[in-house]
Amino acid sequence: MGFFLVSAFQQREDAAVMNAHQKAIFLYNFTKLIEWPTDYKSGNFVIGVYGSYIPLVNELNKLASTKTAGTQKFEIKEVASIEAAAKYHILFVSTDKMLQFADVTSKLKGHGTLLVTEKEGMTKKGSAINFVVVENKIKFQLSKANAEKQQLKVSRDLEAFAVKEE
Amino acid sequence: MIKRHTYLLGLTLWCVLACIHASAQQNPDFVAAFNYVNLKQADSARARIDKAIKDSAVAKEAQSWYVRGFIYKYYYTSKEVNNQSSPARAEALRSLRKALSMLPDTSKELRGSIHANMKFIAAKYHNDAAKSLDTSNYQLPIKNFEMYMEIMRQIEPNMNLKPAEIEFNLALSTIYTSLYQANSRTRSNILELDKQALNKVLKLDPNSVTANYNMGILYYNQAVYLINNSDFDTPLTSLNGIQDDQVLLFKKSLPFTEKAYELDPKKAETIQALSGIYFGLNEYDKSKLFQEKLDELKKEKIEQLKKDNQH
Repeated sequence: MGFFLVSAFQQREDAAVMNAHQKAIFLYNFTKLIEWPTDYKSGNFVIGVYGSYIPLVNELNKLASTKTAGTQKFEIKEVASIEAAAKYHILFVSTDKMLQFADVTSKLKGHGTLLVTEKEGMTKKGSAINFVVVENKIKFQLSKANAEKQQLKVSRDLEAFAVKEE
Repeated sequence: MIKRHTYLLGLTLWCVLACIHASAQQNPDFVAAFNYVNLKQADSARARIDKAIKDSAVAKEAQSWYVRGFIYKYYYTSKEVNNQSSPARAEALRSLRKALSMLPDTSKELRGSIHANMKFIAAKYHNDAAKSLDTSNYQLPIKNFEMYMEIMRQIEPNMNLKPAEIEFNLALSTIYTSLYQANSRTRSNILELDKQALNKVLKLDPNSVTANYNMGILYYNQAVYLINNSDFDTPLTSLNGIQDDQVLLFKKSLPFTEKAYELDPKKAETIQALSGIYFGLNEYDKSKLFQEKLDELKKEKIEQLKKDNQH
């Protein structure tokens, strides 16, 4: 009597990659729904990732290889430390760099940089967009005031998708 | 070995012949068919038994159909044993079944012989299913396995066929999963077949760790694919809907994976899957908890290995 070969346990996909892909989709949407100052409309469209978040960097690199922000090419930077002269269109600050966030806001104050975080309460500390979890789903809070301080114009569509802060 | 086989074949046929009704024995084609089996001429044996069975005096006897089944089985083993959809095997089975249906309840001896031949055919169907089940070919193995089950249910109604059915459906699920993973966009029907196979196993054995885990992973992977297959261009409106579906799938995955964990808390894959599900549900604290359990388990295993090496 023959026997069936059973590969007992199925392979599991990586949820961290999925989560990062989701955030990359959000970030790409932001590039379409936010207007940057004139001097940010030429050259590469720079997205910096401050802190350790390799899956997001990988996903953003995939984004950069297939899409553009209007006519601008994407440039993805892994950021180890924040320099005041640095020019980012978007800076994603990962949770492991929350203690340095005050330094980030002071160094990039008034730059045309969209500051994106993912920790409850960060819009009160200067973040323009803050990812939050609502009913197991990734949503985002938006601080129009913080965006405007960075010379960014937020579209009404983006405002409509943002969740209200409690 | 061949000599012994020929001797056994002759002996079996002689026993059959002894209990054949006189009217059948008077049919020259019927007798010739026997002789051709002894001469190992399967083609001629088959041709003559088919001619003989057209005689109503031969066809009315259960024994005649048994002999026809026997000869077709002989033809199958001689000529079509590598043909997984062998017509001769199917015909042998049909004849044996007909013989069985015509047999009075008292004919224990012949019933036993018919059963033995059917069991042989059932084993061949099972072996063929096991041999050929792969991603390029799963429909014929399913058919062959169903034949095996059908025959065994008929001849051994008290036999526990659950283990075989579980084993087959788990293997089938693995094949479906591979097919789905190879091309998930065009194979959503495959996913349903996969779930059906696993549901069959879970119905037979609700405590199957493998089936619970695999069902959990099936939903889990489906959830992950939803996002990973979404283009960067996905607008925020659609992303919201995708996330709704995704959460639903992760939540469907959870009870199966939790059950697998409950049944075998030391299985690293299950702990890792639970950590992944909670991560997918954006419940990072719970995800971390299972990640810590996994790290602990890994440490335990390393300690155990060290101890084993010391001994």
